[in-house]
Amino acid sequence: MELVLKLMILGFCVGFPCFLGYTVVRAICPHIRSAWSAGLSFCVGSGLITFWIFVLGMLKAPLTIAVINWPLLALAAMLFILRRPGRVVALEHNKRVRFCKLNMLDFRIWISGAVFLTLLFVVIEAGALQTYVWDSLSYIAFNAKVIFFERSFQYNANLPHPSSPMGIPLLQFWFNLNLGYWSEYFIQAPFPIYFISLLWVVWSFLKEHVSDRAAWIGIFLLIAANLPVYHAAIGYMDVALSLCLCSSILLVFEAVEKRDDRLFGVAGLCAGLGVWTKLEGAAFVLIVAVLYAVLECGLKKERFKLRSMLKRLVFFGAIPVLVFAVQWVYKKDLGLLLFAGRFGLLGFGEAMFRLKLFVLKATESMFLPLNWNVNWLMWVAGLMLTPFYKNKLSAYLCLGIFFFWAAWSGCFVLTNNFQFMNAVLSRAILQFFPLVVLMNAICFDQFVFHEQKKTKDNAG
Amino acid sequence: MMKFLKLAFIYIFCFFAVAWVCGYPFGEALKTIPETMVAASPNKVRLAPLPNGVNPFFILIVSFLLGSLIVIVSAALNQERQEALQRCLVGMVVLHSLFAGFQYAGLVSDLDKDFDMRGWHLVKVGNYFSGPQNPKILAEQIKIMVFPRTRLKLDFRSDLSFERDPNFYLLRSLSYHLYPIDIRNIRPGEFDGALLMGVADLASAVPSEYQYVFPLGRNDAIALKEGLDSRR
Repeated sequence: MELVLKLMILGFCVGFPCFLGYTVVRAICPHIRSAWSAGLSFCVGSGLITFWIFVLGMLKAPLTIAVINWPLLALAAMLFILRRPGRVVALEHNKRVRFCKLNMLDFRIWISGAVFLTLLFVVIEAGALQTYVWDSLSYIAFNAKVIFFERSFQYNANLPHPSSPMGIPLLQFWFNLNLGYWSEYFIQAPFPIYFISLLWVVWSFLKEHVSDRAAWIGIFLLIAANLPVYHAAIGYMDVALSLCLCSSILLVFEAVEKRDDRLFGVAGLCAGLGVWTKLEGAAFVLIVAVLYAVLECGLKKERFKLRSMLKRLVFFGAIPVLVFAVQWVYKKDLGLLLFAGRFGLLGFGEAMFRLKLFVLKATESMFLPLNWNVNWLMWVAGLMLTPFYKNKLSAYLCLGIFFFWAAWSGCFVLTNNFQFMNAVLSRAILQFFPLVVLMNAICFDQFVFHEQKKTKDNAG
Repeated sequence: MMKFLKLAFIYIFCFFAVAWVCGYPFGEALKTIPETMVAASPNKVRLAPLPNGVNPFFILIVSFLLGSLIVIVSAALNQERQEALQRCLVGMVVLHSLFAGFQYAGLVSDLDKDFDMRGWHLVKVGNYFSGPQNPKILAEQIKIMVFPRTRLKLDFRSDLSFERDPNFYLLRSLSYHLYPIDIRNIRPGEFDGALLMGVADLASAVPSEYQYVFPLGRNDAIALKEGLDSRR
């Protein structure tokens, strides 16, 4: 009976953010594809819940279930009732769901099996590992535990890593608040769901932009990379940040393609959640904004309009700026600085020396086979073998990867973060790794499947 | 489909041929390579070398080169040169899948070690929290000793250095598992006692204002102020 009750509470902790996130995404952009709103639902819902807890904590309101959950339940119900119906797309005759015999030679069956096995591993491992990894013990779960037992923010200035955003610790706090006591299992629950959401987002984007076979290969490339799978089972924040950033980048592309300004709002929401997840998320918002500007100015064939571009940038940047500003004001009030002690000017010689070490370490981190399997090798092969620059999406993603590399190289070479480079570079790559997988899938679609189709057509 | 199967066969054959040359015949390679693929940590997933020192990644690279050579030569002979590079890319995915297969085998055997499958008994948590430091068990022991005082603020004192692992990890882990007993100075105010760990001379290390001493080990103890003794 106790187990059933716990499972029901866990179901609420997962289901409620999904429902809230789904209704909010639909409210911002009613015509967004269902796959997008479903994939982003947990991420958006949990981000809103934790931001609401943060606001309550700042205002010194009591952090109880009633104060936190009831207003949000009311908001979700209201948005659900007032929702505008999206376009209902009738299934075409040849796309109707059909039950057919399983063909064991069909590679999709094997990839589905691999996805199932990976998710099973992630869920079991997340339960088995509990809190043992360094960052989690040191400050993520620790900060959540302090807030859980104190039920207030009064000691926040004394917490370890006080400048770190509170999104994930507050989510862990909320999971255990609903349960009523501190459970090592409940604080692990959000991480596999972030990973599943990431798979969903990558899958739904690929389904829209490449052939079915290439989409399956893309998913396989992602789940066969070890580091993202391992991170899905431990209490680190990089998979969540990766989900927010990649969703934001992909939504910006879709928004420009479909000329849907409301999609910029959803992209901005995702970027804001990135700022709310990790400190570097703030810098990455700038990357997404620059990517948008490049897409609008350089990659789009239509005439460039500065005014509409600025309007969209404001629409995109409003939520990230708000999230950053609220955090900044709060930390300032506590007497903390957001990037304290992280910046310092270097001499040219020292910077060159660091750059050399960075390039060596980056090469090792990219091609170290078990972090990413052979994804980076495949990416390099794709760059050399295919005219990726002719495909707008490929060029956009490649530019995104380049910007992320540039940002991280600047961060490690020019600032005091150099001392952490050996430890965290692979995790830094993880934050934009889904873009590499997407590029590989597109390369396959363009180069292998497209060529095969051409060969068949010629033979026909 | 047959073309793909042929291609897959070439690359997989090359992989096992190279492994055989490196000293791992088919059966031995199937058994040994998955065991090298489970050394995961949050910062990187290491690929351990095989027992004779060969890195499985070396086998992967050489087999890719060998397979690609075969594919390119056969494409040239069959007047299909345009398709050769695509086939090499597909070959890379084949090797990726093979590595993923090894990785899954490694994961399953790792899970098998973590769980006692007969009784569904979880042993991994025990593994992580065992060893000389035992932070989680130690935290539970301290909580029981000072019960019903659950919100103490303790002054952490030690002769050991906590700047490096394993002590660095021990302190963070202990402070996490102990909370709401605070040893990281989160709550302001006076200390209710001291947690002494790894102190050479325990008798002289206990401050005079603390009166109730609960020994935890030969060099470890908790000392509390008067009035905070739980057993009176």
